[in-house]
Amino acid sequence: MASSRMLYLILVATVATLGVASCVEGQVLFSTLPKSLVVTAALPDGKPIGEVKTGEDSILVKWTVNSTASVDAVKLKTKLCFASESQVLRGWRATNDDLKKDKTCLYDIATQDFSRTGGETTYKLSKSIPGAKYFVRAYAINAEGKQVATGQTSPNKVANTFTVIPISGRSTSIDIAVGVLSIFSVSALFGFFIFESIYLKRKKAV
Amino acid sequence: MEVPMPSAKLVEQPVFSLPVDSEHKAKSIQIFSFAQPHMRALHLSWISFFTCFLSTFAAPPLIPIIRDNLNLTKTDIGQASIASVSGSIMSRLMMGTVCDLVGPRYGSAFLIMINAPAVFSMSLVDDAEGFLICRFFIGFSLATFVSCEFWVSNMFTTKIMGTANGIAAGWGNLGGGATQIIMPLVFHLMLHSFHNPAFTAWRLSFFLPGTAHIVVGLLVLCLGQDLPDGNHSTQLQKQGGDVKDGFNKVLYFAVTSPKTWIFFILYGYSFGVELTVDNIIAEYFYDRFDLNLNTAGTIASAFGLMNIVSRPAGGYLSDCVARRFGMRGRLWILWTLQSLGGLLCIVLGLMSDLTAAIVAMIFFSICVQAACGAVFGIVPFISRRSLGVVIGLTACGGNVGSVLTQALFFTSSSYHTETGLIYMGVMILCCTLLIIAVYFPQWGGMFFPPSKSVSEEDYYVSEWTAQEQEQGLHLASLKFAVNARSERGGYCSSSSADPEGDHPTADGLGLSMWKSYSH
Repeated sequence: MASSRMLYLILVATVATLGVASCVEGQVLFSTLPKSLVVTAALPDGKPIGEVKTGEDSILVKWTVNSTASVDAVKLKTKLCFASESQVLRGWRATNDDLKKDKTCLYDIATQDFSRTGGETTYKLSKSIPGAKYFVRAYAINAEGKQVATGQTSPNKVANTFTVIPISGRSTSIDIAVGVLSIFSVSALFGFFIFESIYLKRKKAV
Repeated sequence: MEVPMPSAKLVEQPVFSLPVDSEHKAKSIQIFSFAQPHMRALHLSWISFFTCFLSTFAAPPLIPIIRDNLNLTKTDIGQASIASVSGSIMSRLMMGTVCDLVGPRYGSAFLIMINAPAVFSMSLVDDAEGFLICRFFIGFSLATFVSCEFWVSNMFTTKIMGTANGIAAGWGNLGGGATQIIMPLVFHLMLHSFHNPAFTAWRLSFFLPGTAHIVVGLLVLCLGQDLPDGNHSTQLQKQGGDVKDGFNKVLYFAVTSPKTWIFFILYGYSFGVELTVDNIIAEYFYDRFDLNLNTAGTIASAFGLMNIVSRPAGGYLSDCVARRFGMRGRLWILWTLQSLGGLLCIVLGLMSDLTAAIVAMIFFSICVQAACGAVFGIVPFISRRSLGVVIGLTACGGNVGSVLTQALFFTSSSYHTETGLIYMGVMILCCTLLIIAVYFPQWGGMFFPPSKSVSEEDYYVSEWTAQEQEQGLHLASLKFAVNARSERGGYCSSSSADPEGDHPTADGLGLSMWKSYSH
């Protein structure tokens, strides 16, 4: 019993240490980040995005630094973020001011080197992106990996959002396989019943 | 192993590899044997039940992918979860009748193979409604529980009824825990090894439970046997074997016994609670303790995986206590286990430290699952004629309990999940008090001694009318009644001689892990 008590104490101590350790890292709050970046998203030919399809279409994301701001950053990350209406009744996409817990922006677009003159990237939408309404957000990352500035295409997560049309995941071969196996299952069952009743009748006749 | 009989009373004297009683039910369990008919039936029944649990709870571990593909909201997911357990309420009841009429082998094989298209159809759903309908129909397959218990009750004698039922149902329930590990693994295989996009990979993963349905259904049909002496349909009527029974009579005797309804509620608050927790526990750990999905899923699977020992242990404890105290002991142990489960549910809700919560959850799962095992140490004794319907009704109660607890405590947003757990624990404690009302005239109840004028034969044969007794239809019940004298317990007249006299007593092959007291 003494050894199991020791084990319990060690477990509690480990959990406590880990808990404390996570608090030591500084939390970055989204509300404290300066909105120093200007981000736009459009179709590659320059037209505004209405709807795009994953796996087929691309979007062109351009970002620049607001002339009055000074941003000390090394990298720039662009992300695809959920609009408010796609977060409704979906707690796994909830917005949290603490960027470590925030789930608004779950899909990465690109990570580029930071430059005061700005940059752009063309992103072909990955097939794993779900269908929803999105906007694009950029974070400037400093050498320690913490966010120091941000900017986004939509001012309030409602206006200027675009729709992404997902793949269904279905294909003709899946449909056919389902049909074949279902028919096999039911016919094997009834075939067995018929076979067994014929067999029994023959046995009784003998 | 042939044992030559000095004087054969019947035309054919079948020889079994396990010691058997007068009904040819096995008196011991050899867990590593696949011999016809007893052990093979045990293994086939738990495997078929495991497969159905695998497919019914195959969606929850993949929900993070499915909810993105089908654009589900939290309400959609919750409603589909309730649908998955409510589908089997009716099917469990029907399965009870089907087993009484055509036997468990046909019943379970039919259900498993007819259900396979529903499992495959999950690969084709495109929206929330389709998802809900699919989960609802897949949930029907949980009725194999009834055929599983019925089959095992046919094959094993009263003294080890609890253990055998506990093993079959417990290892079947394991499917609910195993699926939380298996399905994500299959998904990763489809995603990375076969290079499919995520939204296709989860659909392909459902081919595994679907194919398992077909394979296991065929195994049950080809290898299974309803009764120790043969199949239901081939029973020779002149030996007084099982006969076609009137459905109405069977239903009447099940429904008019108040014990059936008490166990309906009791099972709702042991197995129903287990089903509810299966559906909500991963989310609970994910939200309350900020764990990632894989960790929360692994902890959630631990709840279901405890079934490998806890449910058989509950049945075994019930059998152990019955040897000394008979049926009254079985009732007391059930009350103890279920009340402990209720207390630990309250404790789980109160724990705000992760380690303490995991420990509480594990003890809670042990008690609740052992209580399920103990319930089925008693249920086969409620009625012999309507065994299938009684099992079906009790099993229904399990699902109704799950729907009720999920709807009452885990759907409203006015209180958190932990408060819901506390309320559920209180409700378990209250409903468990109903055990006091269970009374078997020939054996007694928790606080009441047995009536001296009623014997086991009186109790079981009273289910048949005088006309039916004249036709000799009650003989199977009579044999069961004689064997059920074991439920009087050790303090009664204990002649160690077997009441039925000579019968084949070939020793089992290999190691025997559980043995009832030797004759």
